[in-house]
Amino acid sequence: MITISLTSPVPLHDQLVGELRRLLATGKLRTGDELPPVRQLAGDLGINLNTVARAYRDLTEVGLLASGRGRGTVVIATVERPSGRPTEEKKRVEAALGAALADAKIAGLTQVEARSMLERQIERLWKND
Amino acid sequence: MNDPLGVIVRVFSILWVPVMLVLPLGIVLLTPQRASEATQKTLSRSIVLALAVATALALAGWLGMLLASQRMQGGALRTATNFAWVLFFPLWFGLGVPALKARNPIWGEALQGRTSATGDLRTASLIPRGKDHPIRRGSWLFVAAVLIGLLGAIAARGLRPFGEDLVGQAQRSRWLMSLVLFVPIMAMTFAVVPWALRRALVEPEPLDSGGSQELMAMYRAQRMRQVRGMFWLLGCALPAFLGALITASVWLPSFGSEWGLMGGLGGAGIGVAGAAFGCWMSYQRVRIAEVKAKLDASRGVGA
Repeated sequence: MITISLTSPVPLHDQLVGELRRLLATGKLRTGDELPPVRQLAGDLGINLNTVARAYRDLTEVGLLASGRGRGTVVIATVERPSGRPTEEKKRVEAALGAALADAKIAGLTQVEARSMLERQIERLWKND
Repeated sequence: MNDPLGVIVRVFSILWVPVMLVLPLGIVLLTPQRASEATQKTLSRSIVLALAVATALALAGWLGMLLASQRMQGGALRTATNFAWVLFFPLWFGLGVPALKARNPIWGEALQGRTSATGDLRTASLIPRGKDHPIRRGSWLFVAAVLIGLLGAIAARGLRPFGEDLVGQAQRSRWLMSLVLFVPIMAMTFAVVPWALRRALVEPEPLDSGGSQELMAMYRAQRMRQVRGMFWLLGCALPAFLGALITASVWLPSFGSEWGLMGGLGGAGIGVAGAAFGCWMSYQRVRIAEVKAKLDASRGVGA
């Protein structure tokens, strides 16, 4: 199940990619799972076909999904294919984490609350490792 | 007029038009008023009033044409009188559907058998619905066997002589035309219908913000019914009926007008069944839209 918000400042494409990555990270989507066709997902969410197609394409480019004629879009990995630029990857993740923590601070959370939240998320995502 | 079939056809052709003209107003009046806001109620009343006036005018026009055509014995006027039922469409789509929407604002697009996602929060299932196809390969094989059997029966007529006179030549032309007619029937059955069924499987099914299992089950039940109904109507009944009719007309050409009448009645029967089925599906979509709205409202999410 994925949920997006039309009033969120985050672009729909980014929300969609984020939701799919979240499901992959939490194990709700596993290798071999088939995703719905672009038309179905776009229709259900009431968004443009291209937005969904671009999200699928972006996740395909990093080696998480694969599309083939007659077999739909399938999850082929739950970990991105190494890009050969690990420093850049780490920088990207750090920036995203920094933005999320900044959001938490601006929302009025204390350091303890933010740390506890972070630990809960780590526990949830890495519990099966 | 001593022919009972002729009487039935005459009575049917006279009653058909007023029934069709009154139908939109009847459906609207039988639909409960569930608009809560005063502006919506006023709008609903205005549209229903306009529909009543338009229906009365259409009926008056038809009655005038009917009386005039009987007095003048005019062929063109009689044809126009019989075809006055097409006014059903502007009455239904122009005023009937807007009136229903005004009386039940929550129904929205579900009235036309469609449901689009609404609201700020959009939730969707990630299960590919195309994999959950209720029509198995064996069902298609059965349809193929029936149609190939009918085609074979038509082709077999060519093995017998047609005669060299004008009647024989006409029968040979009809036989050849029947073989040609089978091409679009086959194309419709094995290309257009499967495509339409696949499209029906991926029709939008927006979920409530909580992704309710109840709502998903309702969507699935409606989807299965719709695809099965479409398969039986368009993939089985229609091609089998057309194929049987063509085959019968090739083998028993002396019953020309009877086949025409049967074709008309059978075609109308399938058409009416399709319309009734479409209305039923729309009604089910309307019910699902209501459940979704209630679920969203219970979570404080506006539609």
